[in-house]
Amino acid sequence: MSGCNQTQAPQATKGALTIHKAAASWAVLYHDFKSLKQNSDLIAAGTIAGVSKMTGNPPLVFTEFIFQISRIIWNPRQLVTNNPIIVNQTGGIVGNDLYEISDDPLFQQGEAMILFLQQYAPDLYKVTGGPSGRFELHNGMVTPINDEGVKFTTPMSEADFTTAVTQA
Amino acid sequence: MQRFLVRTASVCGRLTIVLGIGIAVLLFQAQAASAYSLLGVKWGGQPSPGVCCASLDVNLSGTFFSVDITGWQNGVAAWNNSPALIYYIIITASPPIHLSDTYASGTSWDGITYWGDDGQYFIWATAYLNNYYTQNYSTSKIQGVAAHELGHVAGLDETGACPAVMWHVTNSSCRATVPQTDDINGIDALY
Repeated sequence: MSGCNQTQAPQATKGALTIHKAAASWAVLYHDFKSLKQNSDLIAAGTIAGVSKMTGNPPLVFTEFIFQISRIIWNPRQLVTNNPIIVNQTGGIVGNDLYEISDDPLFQQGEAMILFLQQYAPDLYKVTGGPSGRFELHNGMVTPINDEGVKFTTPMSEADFTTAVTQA
Repeated sequence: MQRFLVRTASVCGRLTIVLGIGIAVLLFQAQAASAYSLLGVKWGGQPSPGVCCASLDVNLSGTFFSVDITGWQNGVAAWNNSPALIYYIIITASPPIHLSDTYASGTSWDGITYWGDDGQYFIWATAYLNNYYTQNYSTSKIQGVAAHELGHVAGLDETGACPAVMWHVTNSSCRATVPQTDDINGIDALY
């Protein structure tokens, strides 16, 4: 975010994939649990189980990921009747090309997360506030995906995170 | 002698504090002056940095939601009317820079820019406005999003400076609708 980065890196590759980065203008980012929660239809912990399908045309492609919910934290409208659910993310892999937003990298299969979600179509969800609604889950500890949203001084336990969100 | 040493130590302590504060102020100013961030690539075939002016042909053709084509035109005008050493020229031929729009409800972005490069120079860039959001924006807010994406197209990354068109969030008091000093400094460092 800050600092004057003038390094010149070659076009990145990941294995056999050529990475095409994108820079996004976010409509809104949320910096506290209360506003994230108020703008979400569902908050759930779970794991990316795979890809359902891709839509769009390069470079603007979207991937519908299968999100296997392990625990629901907030579901005021009782939206979730199926498990897993589908979470849409901008970016994807087309042939040997990987398209992804720099500050919101593509979900990885097996990645454990807590997601704040908005339902934008029947049975389809997107992450609330882009990267600000996405939290990584490792060994029972929660961290934000980057420093653009809610700021943590140290990783939170999943129990403390749930308490904070519930009380927000 | 002991009193002299104590007094000298006291003066040295004060000098150290004053010097420390001075260095901190200088460092803060230096950081504030270079808050802009660059993607690490630029368009080739342009004048040397500081020599007027870079010229980027942008393809604005095809089918658009009406507010978005106006947004792109206003974004181009915002940069062209700024002191930045760059001009965007709207053409309908097919250059490597393409401005477009889409309607994507399953996202949280209102503008996005993709690019390909050879490690030093852009090869292509395509920028989109997202009409799912822009249809509810004011004209000036759309202009701000378009100016932001045009900054990416030229090689600017998100900035930590406020206000700036390169601020990464639209619904923020830090998002400017016309290029600010930090944005202009970034462009002038590139071209």
